[in-house]
Amino acid sequence: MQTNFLKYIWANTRSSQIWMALVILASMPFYFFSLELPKRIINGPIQGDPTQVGGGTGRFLDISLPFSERFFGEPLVLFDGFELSRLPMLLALCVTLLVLVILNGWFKLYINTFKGKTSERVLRRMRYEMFDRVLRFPVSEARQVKAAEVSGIIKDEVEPLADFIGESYSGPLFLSGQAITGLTFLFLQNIWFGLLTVIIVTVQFLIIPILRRRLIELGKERQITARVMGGRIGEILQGIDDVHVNDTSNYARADLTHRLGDIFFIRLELFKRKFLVKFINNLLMQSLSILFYLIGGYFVIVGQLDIGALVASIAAYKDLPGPISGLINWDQQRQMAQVRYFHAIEGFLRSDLAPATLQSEDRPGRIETGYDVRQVGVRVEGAQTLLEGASLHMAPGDKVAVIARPTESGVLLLQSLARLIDPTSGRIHLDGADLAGLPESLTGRVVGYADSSTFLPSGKVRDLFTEVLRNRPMRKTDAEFDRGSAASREAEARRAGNPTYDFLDDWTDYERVGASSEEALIDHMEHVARCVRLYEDICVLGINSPLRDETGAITARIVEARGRLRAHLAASGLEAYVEPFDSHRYHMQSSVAENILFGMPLDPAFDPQNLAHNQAVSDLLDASPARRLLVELGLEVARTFTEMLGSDSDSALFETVTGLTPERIEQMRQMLARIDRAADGTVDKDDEDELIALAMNYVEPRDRFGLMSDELQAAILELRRRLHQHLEGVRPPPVAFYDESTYSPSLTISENILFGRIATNLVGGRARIAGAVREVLKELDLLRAVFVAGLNFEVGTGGKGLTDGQRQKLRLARALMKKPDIVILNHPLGAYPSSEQKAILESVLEGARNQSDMSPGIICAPVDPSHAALFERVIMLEDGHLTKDGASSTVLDHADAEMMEKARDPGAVAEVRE
Amino acid sequence: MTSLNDEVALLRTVPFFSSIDSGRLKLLAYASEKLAFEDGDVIFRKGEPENDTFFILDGAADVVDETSGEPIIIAHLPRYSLFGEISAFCNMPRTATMRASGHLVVLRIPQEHFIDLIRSSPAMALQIIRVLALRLVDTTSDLVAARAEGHTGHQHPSGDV
Repeated sequence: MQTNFLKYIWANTRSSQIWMALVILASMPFYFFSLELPKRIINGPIQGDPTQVGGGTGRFLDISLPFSERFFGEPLVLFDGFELSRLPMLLALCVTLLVLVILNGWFKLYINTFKGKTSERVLRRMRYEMFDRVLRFPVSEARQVKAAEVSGIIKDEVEPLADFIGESYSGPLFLSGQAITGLTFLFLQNIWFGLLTVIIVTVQFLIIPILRRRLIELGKERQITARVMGGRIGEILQGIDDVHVNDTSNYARADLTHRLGDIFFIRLELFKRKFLVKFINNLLMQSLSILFYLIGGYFVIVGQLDIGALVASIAAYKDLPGPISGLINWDQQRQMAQVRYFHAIEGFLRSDLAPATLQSEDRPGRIETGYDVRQVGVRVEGAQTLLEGASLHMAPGDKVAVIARPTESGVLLLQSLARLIDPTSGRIHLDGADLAGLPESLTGRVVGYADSSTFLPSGKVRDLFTEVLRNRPMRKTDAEFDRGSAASREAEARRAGNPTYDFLDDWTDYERVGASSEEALIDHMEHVARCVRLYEDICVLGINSPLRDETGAITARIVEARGRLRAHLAASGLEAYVEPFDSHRYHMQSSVAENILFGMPLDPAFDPQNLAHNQAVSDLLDASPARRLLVELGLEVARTFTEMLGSDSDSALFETVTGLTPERIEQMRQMLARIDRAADGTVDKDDEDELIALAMNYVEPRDRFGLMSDELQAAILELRRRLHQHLEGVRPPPVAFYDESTYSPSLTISENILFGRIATNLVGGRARIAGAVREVLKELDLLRAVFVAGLNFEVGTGGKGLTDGQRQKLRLARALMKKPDIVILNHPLGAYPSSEQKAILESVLEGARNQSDMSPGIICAPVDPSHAALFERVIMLEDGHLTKDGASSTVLDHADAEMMEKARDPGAVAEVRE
Repeated sequence: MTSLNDEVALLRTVPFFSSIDSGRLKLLAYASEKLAFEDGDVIFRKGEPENDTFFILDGAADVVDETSGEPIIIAHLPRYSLFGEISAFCNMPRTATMRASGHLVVLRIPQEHFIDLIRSSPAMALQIIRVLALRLVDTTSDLVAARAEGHTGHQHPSGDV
């Protein structure tokens, strides 16, 4: 990247800058005419010619060659124009002025838009180049980069440069034009005044930049301080758990305050300097005009200068400060921009970037002969040599385990094979070619890699599976851009030096995994998921997610599944364990509010906890006997609660079990006291509402107060019917009502089949019912739909919606998803107990051995060295040296107990980096 | 299905709770979870770290020892017995395994609620000391009798496990 900002701009916007200069030049005559015209309007038609009757006529649109009078002695008329009398002349000139005003406005519009466009293209190019460079950093370096700092630089730090880019060339060009014109005019008036001005301007040009040098330094300091602060905030947020568990929040606050203080004092000095420079600048310019009065006045008084010349000189001088200070400002802007630019790109200027061809070259292939590792060594700075002189050959199809003491050696060996670190000595060849020079389009597709890291980007499970198949755009889709047409977007990308890959294309490479359709791809995902024992996890996610089913074929079967589940439960005596939703019966396992609603709220105003204060429900309650019954129920609940609380003013236990705040409890006590005071037992409206809110939350099997009378149940059912009638026509529907005969899209698959609530406190009853639900799904051949629903599960930021183990399995699945020729497993699945790790490794190995086309090679450093016995071949590393390589039984027989000891902290081992 | 009032009346029959006022006892019952087990289901195993106390509302439970491999029933707890309170008091792992004998319905009283109740009620604390002291008297006399007879192995049927 060019380190000089002006040169960078010129190299990338040359033609735009020239065009901009030409357009500005072309706009000048119109601008000058528009300044000239008002004078002509006043002097011409308005004042008229007093020597002629009626003010005389004037010439309109007469054009003579500029400066012809000066050069030829007489004006050279190009066009005579039209002879017009005063009124038409006034009209014609005003219309011309209007046209000029519009034209000037249009020029301004065009030039500003053009400047903006040019700046934006340069910014876009810069941002892209920076990001491109980060992608080409050596992996070990890229890992150490502070993400928040880099994103801050790319996003924010380059932004202010935009202001300068548009002005970078055209600005000084026209300002200096104006300044030179002004100076020339001054010289023509009086050579001494001209010289005086030149001296002062020179002083200005010399002094001001010196004064501003510090300003530029301060600007740089501010940029870097702000950047480090951004990085620190990112770091603190990444380790937010530590902040809370170690009570370091105040230290973090102090850290930020300290940095904010630094920024403040930098800014303060910056402001002081800036305005001081402005002050000196103005002082110089204004003292010059005083000098004019003083010196000029002196010459006028002594009679050496006529007063007219002095006035003309002062008038000419008045136009000078604008362009001069403009030029000085431009120069400062340039320096600031240069510093800002340099410090923004500084971190990206590395000489060890991977060559662009490593990522751009499209050379997919398959592995024929495998890995050849020759005398590979890795030295970690400040540590003993962890790997030295290791040589081995691994053919595709080999199933190799690596056991090592210390375990780091094995980790480093496998990381070198995956090109995550560069060996400090020796060479690694893949299919006879140096691994370091192979394009990622080959290594990234034929080599799969998984360790115990738990990082996942956000997205759906499905996307996480297919992401590894997105290497190049494969086919067009009919997706449309939100802004701009495809053609214009592509042209713009080209102009800013961005690649023309279309993000909206379908990038998924179905062919590579032998899938001819979406269904076949899902088959492949299912196969991989089973292979890493993630299938069940995905199904559990699916069964607990809502199902989006456009065709309705599956949802129709889910309603059928409800019937089947009932039959199943009846057959196994579990019938009473589930209380189904029945629109004609009160649902005991639900609260009063849920019973009134009998559906899933889509509008928060209809959430069960808000229902007591919902206007529609209150209106219906007023006209229903349920109101009185609910008030009674609420009163009973309140009395029981106060009885439980006894005389204690605070009971933590009471608060925990009832979920009531101390304030609510106090309110409740006061309310009960009010009600008891009233002789006739009347309750005022507000208290009634409060009691109804309390009653709304009552669930008989949970609260066990024995208050759910038949009369109340009937009244609530009536209320439910009325609410449904009332909401029938409302669009969009605020509630999705439960309906026995249709699929409810707001419920999960499992809730849809169960269509009720588990009504048993039998330990293990829940699991048995879940088992019955699974059974029904299987019978109806709906497990595939469940799996697909699971694939649509959003894993959330960093995959937080999954457990650590699930994330590790998913990462393993991603390594297998692309059907690699060689799979590198570097202490995988550390989150699982040894037995589960073994089961997954067995399953992966079995999957690999049974693969019909080409059995992939697997090289694995298992967390538990005893799992090495699952592999045919074992490589043993002792103290950084490869000591044994052979059939697993032979090598493992020779391994001592220490070697076979399980790594104490596999997670930490996998994190060892160069 | 028993109501809260029934549960409170039943709890009151346990010596531990006899001195607690009915509001408090109601709160304890309200805070507790009602669980059902089928014949042979394990309620908890020896050595498990959880410390909740159980009260049998319906059915019966067996205290089982599995140390010799084959489970041996060493005590039988009838309806309305309390078990698991030792773990709640002493924060120690379960000293024996409990198994449902026939259909069993229990009230599981979370440890913190149980302890909270004792903290707020000196009368209850006193009651507990009394019950434990009586048990100690029993155990001591059992031990004396056992020494005199020259054999050991008699288990106290209160089921403090």
